[in-house]
Amino acid sequence: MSDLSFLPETNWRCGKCGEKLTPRITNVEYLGNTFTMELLACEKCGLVLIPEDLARGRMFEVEQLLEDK
Amino acid sequence: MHATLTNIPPAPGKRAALRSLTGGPLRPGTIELTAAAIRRLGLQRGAKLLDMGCGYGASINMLQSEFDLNVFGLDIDLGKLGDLRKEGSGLALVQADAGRTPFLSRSMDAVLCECVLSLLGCADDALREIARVLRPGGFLVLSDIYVRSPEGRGAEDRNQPSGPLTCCLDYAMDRPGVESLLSRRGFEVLSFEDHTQLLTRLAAKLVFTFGSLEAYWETLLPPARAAKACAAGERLKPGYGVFLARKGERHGHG
Amino acid sequence: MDQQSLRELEYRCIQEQPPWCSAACPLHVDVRAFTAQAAAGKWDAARKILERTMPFPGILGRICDHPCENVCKRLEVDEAVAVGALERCCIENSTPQSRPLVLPGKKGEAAVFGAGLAGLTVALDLARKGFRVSLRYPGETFGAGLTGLAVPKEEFDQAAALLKRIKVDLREAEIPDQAALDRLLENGLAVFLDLDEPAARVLAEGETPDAATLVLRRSGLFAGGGPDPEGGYSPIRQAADGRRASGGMDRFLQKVSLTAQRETEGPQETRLYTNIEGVAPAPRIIPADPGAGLSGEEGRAEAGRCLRCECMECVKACVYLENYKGYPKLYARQIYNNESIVKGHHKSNKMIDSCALCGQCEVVCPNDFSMANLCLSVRESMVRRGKMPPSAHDFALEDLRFNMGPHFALAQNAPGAEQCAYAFFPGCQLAGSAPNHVERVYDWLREAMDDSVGLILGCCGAPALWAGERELFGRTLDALREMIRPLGAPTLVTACSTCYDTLRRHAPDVNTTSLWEIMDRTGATPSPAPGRVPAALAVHDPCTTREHPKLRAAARSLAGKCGVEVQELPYNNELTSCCGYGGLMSCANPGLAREVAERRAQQHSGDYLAYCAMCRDVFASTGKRVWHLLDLLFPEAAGENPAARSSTGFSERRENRSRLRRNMLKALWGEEAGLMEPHEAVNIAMDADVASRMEDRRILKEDLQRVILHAQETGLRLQDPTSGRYLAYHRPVRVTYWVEYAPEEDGYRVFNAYSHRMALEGDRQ
Repeated sequence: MSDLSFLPETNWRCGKCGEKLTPRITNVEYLGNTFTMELLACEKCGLVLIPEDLARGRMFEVEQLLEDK
Repeated sequence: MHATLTNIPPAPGKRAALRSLTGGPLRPGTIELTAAAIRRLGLQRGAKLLDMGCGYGASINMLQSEFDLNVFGLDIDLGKLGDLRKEGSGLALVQADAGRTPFLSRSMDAVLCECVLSLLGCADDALREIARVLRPGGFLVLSDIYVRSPEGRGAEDRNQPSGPLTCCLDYAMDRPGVESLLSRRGFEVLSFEDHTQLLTRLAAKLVFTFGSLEAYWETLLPPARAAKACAAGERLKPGYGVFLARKGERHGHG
Repeated sequence: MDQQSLRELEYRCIQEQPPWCSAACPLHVDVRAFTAQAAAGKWDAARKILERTMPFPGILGRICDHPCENVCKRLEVDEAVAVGALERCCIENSTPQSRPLVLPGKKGEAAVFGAGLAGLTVALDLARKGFRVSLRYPGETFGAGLTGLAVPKEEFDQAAALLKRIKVDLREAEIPDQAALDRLLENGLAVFLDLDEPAARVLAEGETPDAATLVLRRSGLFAGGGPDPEGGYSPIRQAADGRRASGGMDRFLQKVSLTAQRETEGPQETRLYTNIEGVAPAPRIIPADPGAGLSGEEGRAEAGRCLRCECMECVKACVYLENYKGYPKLYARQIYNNESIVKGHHKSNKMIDSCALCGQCEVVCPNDFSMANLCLSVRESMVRRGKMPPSAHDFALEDLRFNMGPHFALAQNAPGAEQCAYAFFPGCQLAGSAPNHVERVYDWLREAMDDSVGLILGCCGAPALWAGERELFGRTLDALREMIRPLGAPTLVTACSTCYDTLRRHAPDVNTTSLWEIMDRTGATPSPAPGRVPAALAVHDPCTTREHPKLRAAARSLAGKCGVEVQELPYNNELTSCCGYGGLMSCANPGLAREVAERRAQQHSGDYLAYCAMCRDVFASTGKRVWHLLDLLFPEAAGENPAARSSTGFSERRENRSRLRRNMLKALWGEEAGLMEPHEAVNIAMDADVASRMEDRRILKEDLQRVILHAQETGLRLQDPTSGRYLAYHRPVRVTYWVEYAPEEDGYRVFNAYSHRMALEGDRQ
């Protein structure tokens, strides 16, 4: 369903296996609301990247929105 | 949580983005919600249903394939209908105003009206028209934004829609307002379901996509109006719900 | 909150009550708004305000007998504002502003006999309401008794032209006889007799109309105007009679009750309160040419004398109340709406969560309106209904859990004792901010008191109380009781007025006293070295001492004994302002809390004296020089400068607390504290700007340690091959923390950290 996609140019790689991060469909959840989005992740180890500007920007805004119940 | 919709098409690139956000038309309700409401009507196969404000036809396809209904689509926006015609489904599509449709009186078994009334300055005209085309005992499924905090409506929110720049907060009514209009036009309200959560989710998706609700509005409206729409959203506390109503046996136009 | 309690609350806030002048004016002219425009020299705008309520301002504005001046608040200072003279000045310096609106035609007809001010007003009002109106007066009597007064003839011509324009059938004619009058009434007309007109008076046959409705004798017949019952002559009363009669005639013609809901007509009492403290006397402006009245310039100056009476006592005192640009009556309505809709609203939530709950408003309010009680009860209801935004108080509640957990909570008898009569309860903030003071005070207490003194480290539960978490608050108090009991129910000696106030109110079964009272009473105050304390300090009372005058007195007395001259701040003692920490304001609304602190810090140029560790730290964080009372009583070694000590960060507070517990346990009781948690061994360093960013983002050192420990143990972390830095995340409970770090010699260097509350699917623990 989703084209929420956050795939920034990044130098981060998986620190465990050294692989490049690739897009992966991931669910994030807050207060009973689940959103599907595309994030960079390590295909092998499952590590996901949520960059600072996403966490402190849009994600924070949505948290505030959902807290307004 | 104040996502709301407009009746103007966004810039071409944005349109696709917006459509994919909700897996179809930009409105809080899902196709499943529409299907659930129609299921409750228990319509016979082949029953005649008018989708008033069918837009790009997301509901129409489902209504035909899942319920095998005889569906008529109506929209004021020729562009949307054009897209739909291109898809070549041979649908009965009509471009007309919701207040004056070309259908015969008492000709429809059901009318579906999704997120349309709040975009019209004349909801009552549309309801009168719906009452006219429905057969006695016919059903109306009305899903729309409604205002949860009517006391938040100030003078600045009224009478401002100008030209094509309408957003659904301009005309959204509160729940008693909708119900009294319905009963004035001879409808019996069978049920009301609140789905504000869906609107919240849509708002959240818009924030994810555009960064903020104001940024979303700015893709559709001039900045000053975008700020106003945002402020109106905060004051009016829009909700989203589905009314099921039935036209009375004796009421309405004959 | 239900409708009933909303109304009771709204009734208490009197800000919307009319000022005395408007209340006394029979027409309720908005004198306050009028003088505001006049003082700005905007005479046209001022006239517009008169036109809103006053019929024929060109006439009445010149001759109004201004009953408002008898009740002007300025009379308590010097002389009333010369409203009458100002009205005249306004009329002479302006032109008519608005054309009267006429409503669409209504069924019904009225006849007016006599063209005095009352009759003219009736004709004007009814014609504007859309009724058919005729006005008859004997030749040359238009304006009746007014023509001899200071009104130019043109004003009457204009009045007549206006009435004609709005379709009043205006004609010179003899007043009809009784039979003709009866016919009109039988035909259903509403009739008004202006008692200024002698022939109309004859028809009234010497009877006086009903005071409330101005009905004379029979239905449909109204009368008013003319001389006062006491024999005087009041133009404004005549106009008001006309207004009252036209209201009755409207009702008569529309066949509705003549009396229902008319209580607000005519002169009223007002419940307004206006503080005139500090209003400098300024006598009335005397016109240079008394015959001509006030000139425009003189009028501006005279209008400037108006106090614009309003209450706003609480808003003047409170940055929080000021911040939302209204006053409690409006806020109560907004909060009620917030509550009554099924779904909440973030904006009001923030307002509800930002109140310091300090109770200052209740004390300054003439009617004891308490924003604190309102906000607290709504917070409790939000928590009950699961509507409290989780981010609002989480941080403070986590701190509470820490303080009642194994790293801080402690209950010990005095070393070597089996039971104790007293137990020192320093509270979480003193222990976090100045652990050395806790140790020194405890040493002093054991020395100075005859009875044995135990020690209790823990939390009084105030953060849970403030957050509206009634249930957690109750559990915290119960846990505290459990800690106290084995010591033999000692009296708690509190160093924090919040603990004192909270326990006094909510745990009266626990005996509680304050360190300040004990120190002041025993007289065994250590005497600080002379020259090391400042000569004078401005004392800031913590808001939780508001109801505890003894505590405030003891603090002042102790400062005095240390040789400090105590100076008072505005809003001191029971009127004191919160520092911005109370009610978890700084948690829910850090920006506003900072403004509160800064404003308070600016109220006196000198150094402050605080006797709450939190107040001290809050002021210190604004850059204000501030002493804690214990800085005076237990001075540091020479060279230390307690007033310049910076605020203690959140991480440092926690570390201070657990170190304090460990040190005291070891030094006084020879016990080892429990094992450290693994993450505590993770050694981290960061630059000052990173540390201050962590403080702003409410990310604690232990959060960073946990993430790094987790990443290093599992190997789950991202890496930037160019810089070699790692980026790792971990979600201990409700928040996911991200830390960018790199190993260094004996630990890790942290470059950045951020957090979010959203959870990734299958979040790794």
